[in-house]
Amino acid sequence: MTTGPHRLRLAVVGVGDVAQRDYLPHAHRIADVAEIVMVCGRGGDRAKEVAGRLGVARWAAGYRQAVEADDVDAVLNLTSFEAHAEVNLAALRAGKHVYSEKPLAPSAADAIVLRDEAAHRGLTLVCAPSIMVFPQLVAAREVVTSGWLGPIYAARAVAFGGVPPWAGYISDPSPYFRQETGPLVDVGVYPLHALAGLLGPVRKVTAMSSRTRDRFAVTDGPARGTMVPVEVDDNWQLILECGTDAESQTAIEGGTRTIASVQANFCAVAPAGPECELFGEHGTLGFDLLNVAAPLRLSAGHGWTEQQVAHERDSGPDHILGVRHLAECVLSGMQPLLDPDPAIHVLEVLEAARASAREGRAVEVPTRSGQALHQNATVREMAGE
Amino acid sequence: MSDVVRLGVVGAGALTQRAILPHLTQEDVHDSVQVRAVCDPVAERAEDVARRFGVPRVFSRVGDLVSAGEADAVTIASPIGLHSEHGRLALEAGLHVHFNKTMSTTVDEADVLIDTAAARGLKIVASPGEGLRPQLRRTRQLIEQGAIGKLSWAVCGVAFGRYHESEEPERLQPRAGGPIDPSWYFRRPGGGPMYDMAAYALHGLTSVLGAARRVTALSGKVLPLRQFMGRTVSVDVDDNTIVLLEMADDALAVVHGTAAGTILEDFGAACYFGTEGEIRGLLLNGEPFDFPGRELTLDAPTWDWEAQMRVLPHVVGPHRHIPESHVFEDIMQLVDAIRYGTPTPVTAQQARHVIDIIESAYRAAETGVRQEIRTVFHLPAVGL
Repeated sequence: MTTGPHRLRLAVVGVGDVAQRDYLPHAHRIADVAEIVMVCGRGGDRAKEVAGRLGVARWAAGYRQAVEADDVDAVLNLTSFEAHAEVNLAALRAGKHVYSEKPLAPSAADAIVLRDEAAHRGLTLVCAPSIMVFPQLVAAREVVTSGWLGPIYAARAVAFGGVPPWAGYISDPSPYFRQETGPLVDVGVYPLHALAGLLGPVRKVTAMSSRTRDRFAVTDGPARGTMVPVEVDDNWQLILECGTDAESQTAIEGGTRTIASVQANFCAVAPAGPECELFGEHGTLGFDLLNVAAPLRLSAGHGWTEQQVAHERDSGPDHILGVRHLAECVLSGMQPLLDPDPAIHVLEVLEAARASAREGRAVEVPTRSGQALHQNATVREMAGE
Repeated sequence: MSDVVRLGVVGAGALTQRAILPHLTQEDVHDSVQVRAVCDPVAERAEDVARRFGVPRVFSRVGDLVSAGEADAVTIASPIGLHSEHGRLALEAGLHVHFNKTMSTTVDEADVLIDTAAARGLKIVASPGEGLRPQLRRTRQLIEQGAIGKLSWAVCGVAFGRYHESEEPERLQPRAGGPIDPSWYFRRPGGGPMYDMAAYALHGLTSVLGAARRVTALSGKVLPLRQFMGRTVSVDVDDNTIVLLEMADDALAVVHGTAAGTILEDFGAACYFGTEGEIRGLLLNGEPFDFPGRELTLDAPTWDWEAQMRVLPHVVGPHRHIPESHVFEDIMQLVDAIRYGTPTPVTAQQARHVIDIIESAYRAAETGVRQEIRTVFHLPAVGL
């Protein structure tokens, strides 16, 4: 538990691509609430190098020392996805708060175990993507609740994953192309968090998928020159029915559901247009899911107006906001907005999408997600303030 | 050269008044096609329209029109749910047929029309002739040439918003016969944005990528009531549908046909995404791409649908200034086919395939089960 009154003491576990691209370069921005006291990597070399670069005294190979250290309050779990659940569980059992990169665990059922473990121990568990506190999502939510769009009938979103080989990627990309991952898990979670957060939870999914390549040669990073087999479909298209019940606050009059299309792939270039669009009776709202620097785009017919949104990071996803959120919640005792329920809900949607694509039928998302609906509504309330 | 094609017009509603008769009564087509009759169950409307456009004969029943010996061909501009029946009557009477979209609402109906025409040696042209447009032919060529790498997915779609209730001038300025009732757009069979607006997107998509193989969809109704000139119209058809298609070569496509929501401002246009680039309407990786006749469109924004149609082969002279010239083009495709035997890419087989997609999508949404698309059509070589 927290011992220092002022700053949360973090151990960073995992120093691969996402850590070095999206988290560590921005750690100074949360120095008022958190300090990194230890850096851990799968091997020790990269951890040592990163620790030296950041001026952090301690580094270690593996995650055990981070979990067991008395002077660590929270674990920042930036490991490769297959290690997420193990590190998360070990950290929680050792009494550490946790910020986990997505997904929390390989399945919704496993994620629920983690949620319950955290709740049982009175620990804070925050899961990426913290997209609902990204500034453009906060601004989008304000447009939705203002009523300017009118009832929202339909939406579409694109999750950009990039075509392999990912030039400049500094870790081994092969885990992203295994059967249990692929673009759905890696990037599909962004539109799903956004749409469920803005429109209400996903109730039904129908999906198709395809595999556009068998393998690719890695050109950068430690796996350079190796051939990665593509074991998972790399082209996904989902159609969702989202929405709240009639008695709840809803974007649609009378509790009617919104339908939305969601694309997630590792086989196409980034779209030139907005990554997400909400189609209301009176207008359309477009925004980017990841790039915090992209303006909102609004249209009530022909032509668009742009609305700039204040942002701290120059461009790209501002994941450090989620870590700040963890630190602020732990230090103040505040209930986290980014608690695990939306992440669990998204895992359920992913499982439904896989079943739909495999079996050729529409799949209902378990009603247990009604809890996520409630939580999402809370996120929306507080994020909008 | 064959004689002038004598044409009957089935339906004297908004499209006939706005486009079909204004185009076909221009001097420049008198040597190839002449409108000899117009038919509408609202007799005063048919008579008023005939008087205004100089059409010699007026009928109130399609059966009477097609058996009167006044026409070699008809254009079907009745409500979509009646297209199949009216087209069948014409074919059985030995007349060639142009269908405004969509040709029918079911594959079974489309089969009957195609078989009847074949058995009698008659020609069908079924709008919308998106495959004629140089813009889409060039799009297809760019994709086939690898301009965006390997195609991964596409998205398109069109919403009808409140167009039919509150934006069509012919309905809002009623003449003889009273207001032109749009209620059928919200009723079965044939109502909803899929058969209406999204048909353009589907014809465009399949003109670029060829036939779809499988389909799934989610669909619902969001506006139970609509208003037309102070009257309430109840909606008994889905008005909010998203369709997911499996295309050839591992590509996926999604089609929005919803009460609100325009995928691109360019009507019916699509985005195509590949491993190395994107085509977004008339932009290749953000830059306009060239196509035959593009210079004719440059004084208007790309969302100006009418301006984009100036590039069609028959849309010359006065036709560039009359609305819905794509409908005129499709009718002239039939006229040329009758007179010269000229083949056209605006085929009944492609229309049937689009109808198959829509009908199967609704079935998938209703049953929750992905559907196989059983119809195919031949996509002619690009030949720009």
